[in-house]
Amino acid sequence: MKSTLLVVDDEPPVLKILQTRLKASGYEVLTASDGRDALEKIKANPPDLIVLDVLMPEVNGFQVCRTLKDDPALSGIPILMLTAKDTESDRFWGAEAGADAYMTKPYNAEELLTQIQELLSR
Amino acid sequence: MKTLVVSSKSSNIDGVEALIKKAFGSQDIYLKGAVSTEAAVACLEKDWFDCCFVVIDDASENGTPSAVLQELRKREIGVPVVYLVDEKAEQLGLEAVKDGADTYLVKQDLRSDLLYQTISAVVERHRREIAFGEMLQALDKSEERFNALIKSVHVGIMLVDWGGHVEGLNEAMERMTGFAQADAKSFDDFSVLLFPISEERALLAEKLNHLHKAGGKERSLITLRTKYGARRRVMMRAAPVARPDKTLILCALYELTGEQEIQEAIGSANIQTEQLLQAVTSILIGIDPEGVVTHWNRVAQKVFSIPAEQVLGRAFSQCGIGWDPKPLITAIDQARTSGKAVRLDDHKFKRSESDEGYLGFSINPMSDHKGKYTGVLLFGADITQRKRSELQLKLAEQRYKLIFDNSAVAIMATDQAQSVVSWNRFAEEMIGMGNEEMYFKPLAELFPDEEWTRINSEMDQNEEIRDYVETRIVKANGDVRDVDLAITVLRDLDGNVMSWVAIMKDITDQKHLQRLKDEFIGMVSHELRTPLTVVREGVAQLSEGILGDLNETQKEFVDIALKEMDRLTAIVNDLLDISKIESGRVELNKRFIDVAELMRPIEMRYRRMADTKNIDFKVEQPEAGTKIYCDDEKVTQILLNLLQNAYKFTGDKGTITVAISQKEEWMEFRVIDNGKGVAKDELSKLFDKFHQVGRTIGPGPRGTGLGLAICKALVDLHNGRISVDSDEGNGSVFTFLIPRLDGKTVLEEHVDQAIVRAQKKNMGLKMCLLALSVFGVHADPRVFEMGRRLQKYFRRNMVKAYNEILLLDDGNVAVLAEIADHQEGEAIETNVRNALKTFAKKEKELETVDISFKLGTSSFPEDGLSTGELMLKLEKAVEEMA
Repeated sequence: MKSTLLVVDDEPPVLKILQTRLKASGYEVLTASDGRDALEKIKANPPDLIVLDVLMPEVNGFQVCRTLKDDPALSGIPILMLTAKDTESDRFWGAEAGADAYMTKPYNAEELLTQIQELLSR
Repeated sequence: MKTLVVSSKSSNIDGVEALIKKAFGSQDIYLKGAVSTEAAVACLEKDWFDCCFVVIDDASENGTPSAVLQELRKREIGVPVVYLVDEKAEQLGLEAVKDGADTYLVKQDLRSDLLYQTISAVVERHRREIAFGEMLQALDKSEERFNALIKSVHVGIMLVDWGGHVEGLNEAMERMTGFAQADAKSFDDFSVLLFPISEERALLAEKLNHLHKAGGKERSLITLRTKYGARRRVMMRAAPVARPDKTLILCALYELTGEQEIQEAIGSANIQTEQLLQAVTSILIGIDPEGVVTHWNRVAQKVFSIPAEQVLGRAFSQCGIGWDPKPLITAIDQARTSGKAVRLDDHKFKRSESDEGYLGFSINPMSDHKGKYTGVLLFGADITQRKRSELQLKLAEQRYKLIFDNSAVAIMATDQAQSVVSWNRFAEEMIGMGNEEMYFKPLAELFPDEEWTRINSEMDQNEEIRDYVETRIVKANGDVRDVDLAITVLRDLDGNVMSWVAIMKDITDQKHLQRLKDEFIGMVSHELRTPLTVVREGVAQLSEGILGDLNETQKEFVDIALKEMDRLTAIVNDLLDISKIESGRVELNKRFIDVAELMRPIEMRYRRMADTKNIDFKVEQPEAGTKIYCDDEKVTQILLNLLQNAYKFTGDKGTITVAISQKEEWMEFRVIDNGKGVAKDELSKLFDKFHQVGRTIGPGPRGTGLGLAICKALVDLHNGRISVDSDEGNGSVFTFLIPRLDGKTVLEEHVDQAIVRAQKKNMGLKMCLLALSVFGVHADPRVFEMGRRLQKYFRRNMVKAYNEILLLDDGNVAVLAEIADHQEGEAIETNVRNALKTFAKKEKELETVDISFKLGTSSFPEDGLSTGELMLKLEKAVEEMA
């Protein structure tokens, strides 16, 4: 059974390459281009894992993360933050918001896949 | 008191006797009457009387008024004589006094108190002045009278032989010295008793000797010692007296009268004054009102090279000194008229033909006891040397003032109270204040409060800041400027701070540029990341064939592109890293970590890399359980950087070793390779930004040029040191040191900072120490692991309530929380206790082990104001918890 991943990023090229990469690794991939869109899609059809960008218009990644973690029905979905922000405080806020893993762009495909696998196997 | 009353009328005698008795009251009075001159003289010859009282009513009585006096003089009988005359015949009294009577009284004025005073005074005077001669004369008269006299006189008498043996002394002497006849007899040389000071004794012997030779009379002042040790200054009169068997010396000792004492004091004072004048180390010149030199001391002789004999008695203006006497004359006049001392500074004089010197004088007017001007005393000093050094000093001052004013940094100096008292032009410009505002401005007010607190904390034990600290000042108009500040102190000889000197450099523009640069780099690198991700990932997917198969040439090109993309990514990452560190945006997340634990992922990751070149990779670690306090992510980054460098420059089948060991207060990390090494001239530039190790044009391994700069920056953040040693061709050793701190020190540091933060917010601090073991004892690895779980548990469950949860090197966990009041502190303690119990219970279920914890708490400010006090309380309070 293929795992379904939701990739959230406001930049279409990023969505595109992530989608290709993850599909190539055998995952079912859904995409959302902003936080609001993501929340709607998750509620309608909860994925197995979410790859979440931080800097997005309207509802940012931290907010999405917190909303999901506060919702008992959805809090079990692992969230991997993938962002260009990588200061200590970003990591802190990511953890605070309840993110299960935190990776920075530019990512290393191998590490990303390992991390996703690990989160899914929990 | 023995008085003889002489009057032809017995009624007079009775009347006077009654009056005397009344006057002298209870005193022992012996009165005898004599009705004629003859009777009176007979009495006086036979016995000794204190006073003779002669009553004359008119000229006819007793013949001439001085008949008694004449008789007494003829017989050399010395007794004080007082006449009592009628007011109608007062001239008789005057005549009597002229003839040698001591005084006279007028009958009509006679009252008992007047009588008492008169007789006492006369007797007293006579006792002192006359008794001695009386005694000597009495010897010639009769032995009987001599003895009576000696016995009754109030003068201390002793008879000594020529060898100093005391033959006898009278009652007055007994009273005076406290020694009795018996004492005197029992000593061979009584003078030893009376004059215990050998110099006094020698003086006495000399006097007696002199007396012996001269055969005359002698009087002198002498000091005797009483039986009770008191010193007494007395007047001694002595004369040889012929006794029936031998010649003795009669010594009469008188207590000094007030006048004598004063004269003696004046005499010794005069001597002392003269000695004083000679001893002064100033030039001393005495000039009398006529301008004649009266004093010329040794210093004057030396300074002017003119002996006293050439000057004394001559007009001072002609005493041969090469100076202009006019200012001196003016000053002397001024002193005379004002009656006050006058100063005369910088008076030029010729020391020799070619050498000019300076004198400083104080001119003191003098007067005698009646206030009459008696001249001046000039106290002076040769101040040539001082003048010269003053000049030197002034020049030096001017020189420094020039430097001070024209330095391109702001300089301010304060007084002892840290108020600004002097400053230079640049300080005025920098702060934007004028003279008025600046003067006496407290140094502290130039800085924002929190900056001033920080500045004080940066001061070393000498209260100085030798290396510049970066801080901010508030300008007069409220603007804030960034400055580099250094502080030095000036101290007096006792080490008390006299002045603080603050040196400041405005670095606002520099900082602004730096900030712009940081922001630019940050922005650029950040903006680069997303496209970079897309490009790299796209190329990677191409290369991996995810997007379809490539032919060989295509694959080759795509791989080259991918490799360059990786390098570009590395550069962007490094750039971001270095700009973050340099702009102070990197905060270390320090914790205690087992060295082995730190090394495990590094080893795993690097071994794979090393294997690709068949490199022999070794790790040498300190004994198991050794902890290091650091930001482990950063240390990992440093090590990986150094290892990647080593990998780059080490050939196939080379050796790379990471050696970690404890070196005194440091943990030493060494990355050793046997690669190609670094040229000597490159070593010093190695840690510079954008300097590439062994970079030459053309093919070869290439880095970002930032790796080592980042390593250095990260080591610096840890207050560590990094260095490199290399033997070109044979490999390199990169060494970095991280300070070794124990749990207690780390906790103290945290408490220090927590106190400062709490104080700022006007809050207290609650400290809880959860002890799994005792401080300082090396912990069982399981205990440390347990501590870590406890920390994690606390963090997860209580993060909102507690400011800091620290894991110490021995597995102990410390909780520091800011509290508003005592109740909150109590609540936190209860919370911690409960959490601990829950944790212990959970652990027991998981590990099936019994855990016992100890908990100690301490609060600021109740338990102490200093970290030391609080720590002590904390350790003492640690108690067993069930």
